[in-house]
Amino acid sequence: MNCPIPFSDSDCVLLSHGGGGRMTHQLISRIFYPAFRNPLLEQDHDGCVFTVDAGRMAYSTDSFVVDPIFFPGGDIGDLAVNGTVNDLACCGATPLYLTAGFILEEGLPLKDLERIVQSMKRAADKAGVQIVAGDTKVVERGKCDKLFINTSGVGIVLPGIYIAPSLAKEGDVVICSGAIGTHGITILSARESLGFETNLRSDTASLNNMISELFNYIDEIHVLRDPTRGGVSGTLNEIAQAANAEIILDEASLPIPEEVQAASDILGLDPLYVANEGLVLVILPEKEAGKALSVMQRFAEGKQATVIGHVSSCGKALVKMKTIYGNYRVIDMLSGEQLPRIC
Amino acid sequence: MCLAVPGKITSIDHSIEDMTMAKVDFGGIIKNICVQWVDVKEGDYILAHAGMAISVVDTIEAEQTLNDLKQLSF
Amino acid sequence: MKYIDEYRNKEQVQALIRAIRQTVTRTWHIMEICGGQTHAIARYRLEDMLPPEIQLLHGPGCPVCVTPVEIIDQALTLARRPDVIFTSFGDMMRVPGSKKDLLQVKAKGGDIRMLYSPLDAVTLAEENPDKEVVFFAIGFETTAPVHLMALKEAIRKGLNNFTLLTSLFTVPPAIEAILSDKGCKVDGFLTAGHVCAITGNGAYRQLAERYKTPMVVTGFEPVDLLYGIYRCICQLEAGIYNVENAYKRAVPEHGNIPACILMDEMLESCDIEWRGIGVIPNSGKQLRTAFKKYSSREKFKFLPKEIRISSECIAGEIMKGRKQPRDCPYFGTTCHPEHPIGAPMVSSEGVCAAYYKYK
Repeated sequence: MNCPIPFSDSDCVLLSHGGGGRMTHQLISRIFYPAFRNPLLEQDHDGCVFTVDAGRMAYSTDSFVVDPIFFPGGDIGDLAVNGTVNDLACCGATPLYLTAGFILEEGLPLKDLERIVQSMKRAADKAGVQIVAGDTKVVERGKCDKLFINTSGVGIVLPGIYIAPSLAKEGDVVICSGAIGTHGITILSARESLGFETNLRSDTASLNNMISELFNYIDEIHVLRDPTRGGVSGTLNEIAQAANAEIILDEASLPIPEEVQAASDILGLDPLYVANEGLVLVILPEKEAGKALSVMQRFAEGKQATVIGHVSSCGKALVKMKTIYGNYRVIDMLSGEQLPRIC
Repeated sequence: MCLAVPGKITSIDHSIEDMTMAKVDFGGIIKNICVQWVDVKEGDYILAHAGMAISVVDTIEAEQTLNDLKQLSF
Repeated sequence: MKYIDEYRNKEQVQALIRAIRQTVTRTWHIMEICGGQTHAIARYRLEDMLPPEIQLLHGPGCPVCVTPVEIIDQALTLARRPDVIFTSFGDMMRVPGSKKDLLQVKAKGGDIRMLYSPLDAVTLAEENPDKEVVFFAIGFETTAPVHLMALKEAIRKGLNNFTLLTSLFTVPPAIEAILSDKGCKVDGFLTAGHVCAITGNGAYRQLAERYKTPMVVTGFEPVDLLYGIYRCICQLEAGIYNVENAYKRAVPEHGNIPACILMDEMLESCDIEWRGIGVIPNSGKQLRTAFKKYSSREKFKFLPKEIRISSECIAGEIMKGRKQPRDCPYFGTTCHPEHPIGAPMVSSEGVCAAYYKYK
């Protein structure tokens, strides 16, 4: 090694970290491998080869571009792991393996990258999944915002489990696993332009352990969905359309924390459209509701689980809310992103 | 037209001339609000619009309105 | 939150509905002026609870909706400039000009920032001395002095890179335009509580007297709105026409004097076009000559443009209280929030959008 330029002393990501040469190797061996180490990853191959039992599998992918990358309660790293884990769990699958693709902006401090990778490791450990393949690309400054992460994952769907939004039926109830709106409002609070202080924290969390416990106790679950982008109302509208069913929410039962309601009042937002990252909506027959609630409430992520509505009829796709005054209003899907308003 | 929300003043900062600022607690959300137009002390409630306190909540009138409403008792 | 929760209280709402039912003997048309009130009425479905005799008409008090296309186009022109950081409330981002909206210009590279307060724009100007910071200063009397406060602060800091693109409206001339209209159906008004918190109630007393129409200063929560309606009905049934304050906790009789002084010092009246309605004489505000150099229109010379205004929708009729959104053939068909034809479909507090959203 006669190269006069030492390659190891940069404290931030350089374009050459994505060049496929020594710098790339160094990044992988110093940051990614120590965190994600497992036998499948250490096959050191173009991909990862593993054996599964014959049966049904679930496969999902999600990309993460959150700004800011660090926020109260989490960061883009655990968000990326939890997001795909939850998508798999909501398919009724037991998540097994994830892949992680990183787009890094040149200049990203390596200590930030390391912190994010460590938090991915912790999230993966908690969810009981392994990160078995990955990819890193570096783009010029300004071509992405600090870093973007894609995670994809596979999981096994046990025999007898059939979960789909189209399976919501008349007589089902809608359970919400916890407080609504905390992730979206926390992210807004961290943005300089709207800046406010709050003790709120993002709810980002993996839900697969709680969901798998639900399968252990409940025979009949129809729908599982995590109401991320578009919020509770966007997700329920998708379910209503898939099942061609009318869903009625009960305003008085919605678990909306005071801080979320207050920030929504100040910024002119509706908490039902605010994003969540550690929440699941469970739709199942009413007779199973009590048991499901007691199972969910044993988990930190489900402590505040409560019934928020029911599927009233089939034949017309619609989400309505019974207001605290006893009348009904339609909860439509948003046409775009919800923008803060002053008027 | 104008979203204005009541919040409680937790501290006041007079350090900038003609731009008295206050920390205001809106149900657990704390924001910096300019209180230059209103005569306030800690603990008062103000109505904030676009970063300015536009009026002080008159607690006596608030009480009175609620009492008036109780009298309706239809 | 204190001073909000009590005014969303279910029992209180039901008591007021009962009181209104027992007071009303005939049909009355009541107009709420403010878009925020329209939004709350639609959101809480208050009309479903009111007796059929009470017909609510929805006034033009939404600055987002009434800002004319020409001013939106000026905003878009400024936002496209590489030397400009264009700042705005979130409300204006989706409002279409003659061709595009701010979100589309942002997507094409315009530096457009959504802010909570114009005061934040001053900080931005201070931090970016090599850029021109423009704040899209829309609003009625509630918001106008906040813009002026920001401008004062910029002047105090000696900033030469901060200007306001104003689109400022005042309520009383609009009420007068509605009342003096031959086909006017409005029997009573709910005036906009937060405008009155700044201006006080003086201007409305003359109007109530001249047009023999009751005006009730009203807040924004369900209990406030129903209390405003109730007080208005009481006056109408008794044949009297006073200005009455049903939002006393927020509105002192004489308003906010420092804010009014600021407006007098820095603003003068002007004619302005209300989108969908037309020009109302002396209903606008603009910076006085002494402050003109802080007007974006002065600093960046605009070429006058031919504006093609869509005449397909009945927005003007709706905002004057002559018609309801459902009377419009385009409502919910060709005109919806993704493709607004008229201004009231644009902002979430525009009457058509509020009706569309909460159906």
